[in-house]
Amino acid sequence: MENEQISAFGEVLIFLIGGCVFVLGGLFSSKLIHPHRPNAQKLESYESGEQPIGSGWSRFNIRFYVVALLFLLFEVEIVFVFPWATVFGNADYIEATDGLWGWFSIIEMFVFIFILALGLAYAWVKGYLEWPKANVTPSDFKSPVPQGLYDNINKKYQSTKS
Amino acid sequence: MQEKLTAITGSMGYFLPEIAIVISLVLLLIAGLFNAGRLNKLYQVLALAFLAVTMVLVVGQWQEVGDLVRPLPLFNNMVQLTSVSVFWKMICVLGAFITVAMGFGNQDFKDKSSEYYLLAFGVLLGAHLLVMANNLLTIYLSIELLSITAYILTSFSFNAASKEAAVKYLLFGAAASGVMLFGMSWLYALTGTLTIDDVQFLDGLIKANALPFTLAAIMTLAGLLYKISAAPMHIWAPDVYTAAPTPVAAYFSIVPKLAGIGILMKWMMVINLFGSSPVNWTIVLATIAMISIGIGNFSALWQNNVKRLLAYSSIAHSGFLVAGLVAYSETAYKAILFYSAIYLLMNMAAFLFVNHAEKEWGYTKVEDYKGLINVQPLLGVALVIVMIALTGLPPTGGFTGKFLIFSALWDSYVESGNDWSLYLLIFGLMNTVIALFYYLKLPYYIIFKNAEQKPQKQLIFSLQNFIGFFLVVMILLSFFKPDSLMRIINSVSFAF
Repeated sequence: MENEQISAFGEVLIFLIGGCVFVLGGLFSSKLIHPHRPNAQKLESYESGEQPIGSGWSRFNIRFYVVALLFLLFEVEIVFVFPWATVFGNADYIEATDGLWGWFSIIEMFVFIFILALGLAYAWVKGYLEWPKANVTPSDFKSPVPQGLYDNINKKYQSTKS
Repeated sequence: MQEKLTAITGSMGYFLPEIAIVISLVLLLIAGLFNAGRLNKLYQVLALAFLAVTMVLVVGQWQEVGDLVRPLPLFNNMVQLTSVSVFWKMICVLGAFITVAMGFGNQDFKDKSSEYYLLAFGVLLGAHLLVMANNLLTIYLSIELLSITAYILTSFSFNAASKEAAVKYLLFGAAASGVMLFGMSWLYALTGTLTIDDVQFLDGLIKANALPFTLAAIMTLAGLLYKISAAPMHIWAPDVYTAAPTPVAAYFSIVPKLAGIGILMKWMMVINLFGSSPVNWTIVLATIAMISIGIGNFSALWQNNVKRLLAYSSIAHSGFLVAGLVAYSETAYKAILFYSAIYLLMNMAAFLFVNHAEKEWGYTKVEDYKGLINVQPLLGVALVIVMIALTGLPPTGGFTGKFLIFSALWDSYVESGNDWSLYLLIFGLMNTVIALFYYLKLPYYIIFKNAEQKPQKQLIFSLQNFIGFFLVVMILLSFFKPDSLMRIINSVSFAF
């Protein structure tokens, strides 16, 4: 039962416990020493300094999920390419295997990146990267302000900008 | 380092069918990037060609493994090549071939056809890896590959019912694989290795306490039972089979299920621990088999939808396959292989004809088949033969398959005095009588009822009907001359 691999999990356990202790310790110590004087403004949920409107549980566009999935593509790539890069050029390995290690790992990585790139190409061709604009119907509201005033303002700021 | 690398590169030569599947998957994906709506037929032809290549490679492997004495470990023993696994691979590729030959029927979503075929390849790859798996991690990953592709395929009818079925399948599958993974983590904690035929693994399990071992083994078993849709993990099957496209339902009833049986056979040999297991697995398996057969048959009695009926029938067939595991002997395992091969023939034939009737005439209910024999005598007779085969009556291979399973059960009762084999035998025989009622419902409507509205007389020549009639001939042949199939199965060796 005494096994090296299992005892290696002890280190992971220490990390887990350490993480919990740091987070809980921070929260607990701030609870101990911080002043406690709430008012209505302080208890409001923070929305970049704006007055929050409506519920925080609003729905959002399903396209965000597609984007999140596409993000995974790059995420997975970086997760595997980083550790690979640290051992790919290892001179000892290459020497020990007579160069086979280098060829093996570079071919593996090319195959991996090729398949991931194919995933991106697929999403692109099938149009999942496009973000169709909402079709806004103009209202028939007649503004009492003449169009000329807007044009003047636009012209004025355009000139100052450039 | 050197040995590891040469082991990996050396394994590649024995991994050709799987590499072929991956390459075909990638090529289909690339082909799918071009104007998918119009190239529908091309993808089917491509997929069939790739499957034919894979089949050739698998048959090549069959000749290679013929003179293997011991299982051939590949990729540092992550997978193992044995004659049994090559047999399962042949069955899986054959199932995939027939499924792809049925085509992608959905006319409104033609631009999704390349995805359809490549997902079918994904399922096939998962099945191939699963039957060769020799490591808990490989088992888990290949089951996930099988399942995730299957969830997506379920939704390929693109209607509300199929989306609902897919979500149910996904949720249930996620729970089942979670339970299985938890069980595997216990097994790892008990043994310190993931390789299931390792001495360390078996030693660890023999030394382990009875309770954690039993819990872990049962949790792992649950995930496998889910894949073969045996009770009590069968709940997803009827909904999925009804709502998924008919070819997909046919595919699910063959490839994931038989791959699951393949790994279950191996898994039962492992957790039996050379007979020193604290649990009497024959009782557990016999109960599972009885519940599956019972639930499958009794629920099928009330079904009106043909696909739903076939779904319950496939649950019952899983029960019969598990019954072979109860007998637990070399002959019993060979009987399972025989039964699986016959099951492939008859279930695929049934789905081929049901698919034809659904696509051409819109038949979904049993009543729709009224008087089919007057209009399409050939198709009617073929369907009647398939239904007789599914019941397990002579003169069809279905009878031979059931007979072999039952005689293996009887042998195990006589030789080892295993009472549960006898109970299961009696229960199975009784259920065959019950099965008669619902399987023969379809022939009854086809032959003895007259249709109010008859479909137009039309030619029924198509690739899929041709395959269907070929399968029917094979079903009959496997009863009269089962020796060629038996010869193939007899050259398979199990490590008992």
